[in-house]
Amino acid sequence: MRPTLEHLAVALLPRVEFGRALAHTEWLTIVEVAEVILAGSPVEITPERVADNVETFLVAGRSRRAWRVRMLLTLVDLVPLTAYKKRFRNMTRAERRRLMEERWRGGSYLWRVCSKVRNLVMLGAYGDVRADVATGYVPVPLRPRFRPSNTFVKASA
Amino acid sequence: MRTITADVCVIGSGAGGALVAWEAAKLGKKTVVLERGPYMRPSEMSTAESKMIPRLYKDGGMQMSTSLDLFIMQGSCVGGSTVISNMVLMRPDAKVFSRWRGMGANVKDDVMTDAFDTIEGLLGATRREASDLSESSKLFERGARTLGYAPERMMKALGNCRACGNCNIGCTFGSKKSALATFVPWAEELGAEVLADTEVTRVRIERGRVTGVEAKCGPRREPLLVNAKKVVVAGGAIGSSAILLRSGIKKNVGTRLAFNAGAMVVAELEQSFDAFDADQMTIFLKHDEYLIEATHNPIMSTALITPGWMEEHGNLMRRAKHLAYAGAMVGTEPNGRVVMSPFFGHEETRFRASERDMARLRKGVRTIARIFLAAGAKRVLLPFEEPTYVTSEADLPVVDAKMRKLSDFQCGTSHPQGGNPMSDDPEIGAVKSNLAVHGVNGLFVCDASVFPDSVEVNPMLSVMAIAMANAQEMLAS
Repeated sequence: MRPTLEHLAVALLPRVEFGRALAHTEWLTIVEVAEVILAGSPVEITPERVADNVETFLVAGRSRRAWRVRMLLTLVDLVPLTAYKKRFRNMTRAERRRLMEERWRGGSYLWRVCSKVRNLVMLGAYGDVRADVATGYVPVPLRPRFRPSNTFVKASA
Repeated sequence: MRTITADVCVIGSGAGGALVAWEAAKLGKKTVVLERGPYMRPSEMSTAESKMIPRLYKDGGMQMSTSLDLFIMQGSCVGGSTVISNMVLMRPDAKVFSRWRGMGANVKDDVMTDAFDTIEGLLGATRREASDLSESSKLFERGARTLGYAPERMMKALGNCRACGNCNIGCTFGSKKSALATFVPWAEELGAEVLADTEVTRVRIERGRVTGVEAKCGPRREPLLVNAKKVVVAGGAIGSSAILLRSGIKKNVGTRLAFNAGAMVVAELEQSFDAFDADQMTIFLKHDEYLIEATHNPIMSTALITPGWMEEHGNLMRRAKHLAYAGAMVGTEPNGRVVMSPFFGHEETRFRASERDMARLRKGVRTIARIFLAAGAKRVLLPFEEPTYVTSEADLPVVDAKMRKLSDFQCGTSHPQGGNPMSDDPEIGAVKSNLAVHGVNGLFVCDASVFPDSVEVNPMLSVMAIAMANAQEMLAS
């Protein structure tokens, strides 16, 4: 079988523990991105929980392309070396914010690829039940018209 | 290796595959359906997006074009994309079939009209009424009428819908008339066997004749061989081309891939409203060059499609109940390709929007902005990463200035089409007008991949109609 980029990526990327989708360093990258991107978000959620949610999402999806997410997170960490002489993980929060404002928003190819991590953070934050309260979204089972009558009363009793 | 023998093997259980399986079962044929995704019944579904998207969507909801410019959303579960659809049944304009005939696809208007009527009847489709409209759809409708447009209510097959606003993550109430609730169980009742979590590796072809299908089943990917003299590939646009390419069929396969490319526009209003607790999509505005659909999504998807970073995004999300959404959708030119990439090791989707596509998208976005402004929006947010607001018509030239190529804005599609174009001309088509693959006996393709170009509206009804129109001939001995 001819080696592909996937084979290469899996060989080079850090080992992933059984039952997980990301290596610890990749999980940390999400935490570090979330710290900045979610500044001003109404959702009261820790960046660690956002990263956990993203990983749960990836594990549930069993995506054949999950390795690309890992590649993306590696790029997010390494590409800043080209312009800032620092890995993303070694940047301060203020530096990471400056990077996002200067390079990710409307940036050219590699920076634009890195900016796709925004979507992972959004799904990790706003896919969490905490987002419902923060945004006024009422999940279907809690809407009065979908609640089986008296269920709550019976459960409480 | 586990081996099954069947009269007909259908690959994929979406709009095309499920209908063909039902037709085959009705004819008394031993029918096996192979579905890559899981078999999720309504009782196993929930209304939590973060749980359902990875389970129901292809590649766990992470499918993108190679250039990462385009999110491509497709279902991957028993029932296929019908499970994650809004069950919008929209008939294409007559010009579409006329154009297809010009490319050698013998699609007859009267046959298609009969099929449309039959399917709408089978699925109990009804036109949405005023009482079904969400507050944001009412707003869009009001704005459109103010400008002299004539928005229409959608024809949908939602059964006894409770309008929870979560159609894109299945239907936990089992109301929606997706293939999961209709053609699949109807086929099973007549003896068809549905094997979920079964990924086809290739179709076996010997001396120009199909002999069966090789697949891998379940989490352990155990090998399976289905011996069948008739195989219908219905794995959807992209997926079906990949199966044919893996099976060594290359002539015109993967060509003429098109999309209904969409750009979402957000209106921010002074007043608060709850559009979450209502039918997601009810009205549309059809223009010759684009289609606009007012829509509303649950909160996670709302966060994903709402532009902005950091405080800007946070402030918008804090005002989620003040936001209304509408998408401009354009049937692109068929210049995309599905290729087996030796570099990536699997199929890749290549697509570059043409200048015509971009011009149409810009027109659609401008029209939505004008409609929302006419409806009283405080400001309208355009689909760029860098938040760009429009507060009056005088601001609209910014659309033309900033929206030059796909990578300039957030672009998504749930409607890939083409890849195995239908044409009796073997120089153009991968399949003939009767959906038979050129040069292979017993092998058919029956899904949106056979469209020679974009149908320019939500394609589900057209897929079902093409399947119904060709099923009898396809399944004849």
